[in-house]
Amino acid sequence: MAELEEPRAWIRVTPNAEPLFVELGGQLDIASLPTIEADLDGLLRRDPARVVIDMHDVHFMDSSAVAMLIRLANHFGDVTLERVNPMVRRIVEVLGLSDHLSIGRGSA
Amino acid sequence: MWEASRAGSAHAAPPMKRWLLRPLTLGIVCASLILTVALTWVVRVANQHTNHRLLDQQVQQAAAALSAALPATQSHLLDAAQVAIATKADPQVFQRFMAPQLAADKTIASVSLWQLNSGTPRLLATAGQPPLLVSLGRAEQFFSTVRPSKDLLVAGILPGTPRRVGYAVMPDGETAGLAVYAEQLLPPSTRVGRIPASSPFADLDFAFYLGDKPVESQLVEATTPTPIKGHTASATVPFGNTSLLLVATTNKPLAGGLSQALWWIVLAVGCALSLASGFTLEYVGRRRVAAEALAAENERLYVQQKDIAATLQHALLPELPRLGSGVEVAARYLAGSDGLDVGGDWYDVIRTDDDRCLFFVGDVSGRGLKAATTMASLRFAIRAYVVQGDPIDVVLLKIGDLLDIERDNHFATVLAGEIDFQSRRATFASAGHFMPLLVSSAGAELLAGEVAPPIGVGSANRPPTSTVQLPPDATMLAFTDGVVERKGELIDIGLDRLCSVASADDRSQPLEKALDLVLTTISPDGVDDDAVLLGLRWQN
Repeated sequence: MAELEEPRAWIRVTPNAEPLFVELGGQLDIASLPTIEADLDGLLRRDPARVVIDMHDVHFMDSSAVAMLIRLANHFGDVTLERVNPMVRRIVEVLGLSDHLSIGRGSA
Repeated sequence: MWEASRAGSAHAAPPMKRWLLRPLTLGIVCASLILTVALTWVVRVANQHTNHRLLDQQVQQAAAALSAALPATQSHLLDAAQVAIATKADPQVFQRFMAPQLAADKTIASVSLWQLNSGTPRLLATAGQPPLLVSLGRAEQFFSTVRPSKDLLVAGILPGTPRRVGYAVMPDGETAGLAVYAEQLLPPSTRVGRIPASSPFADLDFAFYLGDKPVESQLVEATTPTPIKGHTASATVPFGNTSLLLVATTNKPLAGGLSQALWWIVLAVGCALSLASGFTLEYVGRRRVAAEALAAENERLYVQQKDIAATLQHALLPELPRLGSGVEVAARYLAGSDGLDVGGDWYDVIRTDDDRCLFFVGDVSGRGLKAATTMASLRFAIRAYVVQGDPIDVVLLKIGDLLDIERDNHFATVLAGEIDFQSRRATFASAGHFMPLLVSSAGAELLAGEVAPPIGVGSANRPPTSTVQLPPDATMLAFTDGVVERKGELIDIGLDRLCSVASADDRSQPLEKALDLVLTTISPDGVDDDAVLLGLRWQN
């Protein structure tokens, strides 16, 4: 059972960076998101002018993860997703969220 | 279904018979105790056997040492006899010769020279005390048996305080009838002290007897009360014309203390292991029974929850209206692979007048009761707005007020369509949802259209609409992401897969069957996430 429960999602926040630099990785879905919920809540308590989210290590993202990204975008106002892979980019496009979640030029 | 499974569960756990110990444990503990006792017995017997063998060896060695010590006595007497013969039995020479011998060995009480060839034995000379044999009146009887020989002739043990052992020698080839007779003192008590620990026989308790039988009157000396009890070993040593019998037992484990204690160790360890293994077996067995009961209970709860989820889900989905001749409508809902949670996918078809209907396919993000109740409230709100005559883009805008991602942590994607099924004109509006798939004789394609952000994200604008004229043999398929999404796969691959599977439909069977076929072809093993597939088909 243990291997099923290992954390599959991870988050790393570089403190004191401007813009605030956040890395997300792994498989972001309804099962794994609760494992990084505390870190996400901590992130939502910050108040930076700009946020850059590095998404290059995200292998999978379900609608719960999209909801999380929307909340981050709504909270900070200026959020850029960088190094987004085609899979994630298409999810954002299909959901009609291209205007909500700006995808940086460093993406595939 | 849920009541039925509850009623069924009453029989799921039959009352268990409670044993103090389970029979299997009892059997194994008994078997291993029996094995322990058997092993202990074998070890004990083997140890005993070893002790007996070692005792035999020690007694043989003791006998060998004893027989090596005896010739000394014999040679002194033979020397004395030779001196007597050489000096024509001169008593003074004999006494002078014997004096140092008597001084050297205090146990020799009396040595005497005898003339035996003149009928009655005649005492010629005595050194030391007078022979006890004479005062006992046994001289004549004994000397009548004395003949020339290499060996000592033993008179036996003579009673007295202390007792003496008497023996005589007449050298081989002696013709003058001269014999030397000696009496040696035995220890005052037959019991002597312990043998020094340094002696090779320190571990033995033994007794010497004159002759070859352990007769008390012939006991020479012993280190322990006689007769010796317990297991004994014996050996005889030639002594003159008779023999000495050595009877011995051990006063110590000859094979060593460990060997002696081994059977106790085997017994104790065996018993401890038997009990420990019994305890472990019992513990593991009981844990297993408990685990099995728990697994059965979990299985029951799992089935029950699955039943509840399926029942609730289907209760939340609507009956589809009839749309009249020439148009079929059908929908399929598939629960996600675990089937444990209710999902947030839904569909609805509302006939607004004779030749017009609205359809909605939606997906609330996330899963579970929260997603399902959000889905239900959206579906009922949509019906309410439709009843009051709102067009689809207005409906999508209005339900945006019901969901707030900040508050509810959910958003929803919805595709809305308004279809005049007589003229086949269709208008679509999408809030974050896939546009529908159009299948016709020309092939299958995803309809183009601008997609607005999902419901709940906070968009204040009406979603854009797009209108298409459908061909006479059109089949329109609206779907949720469960139909096309695979983990780790680009969404376009799933869309292409749906297109190719849907275009393979030959329209030979009812729409419901065609939808089933599409779903089973795409996902033979069921879908990861829950999935909705809604179809409208025109019969030319």
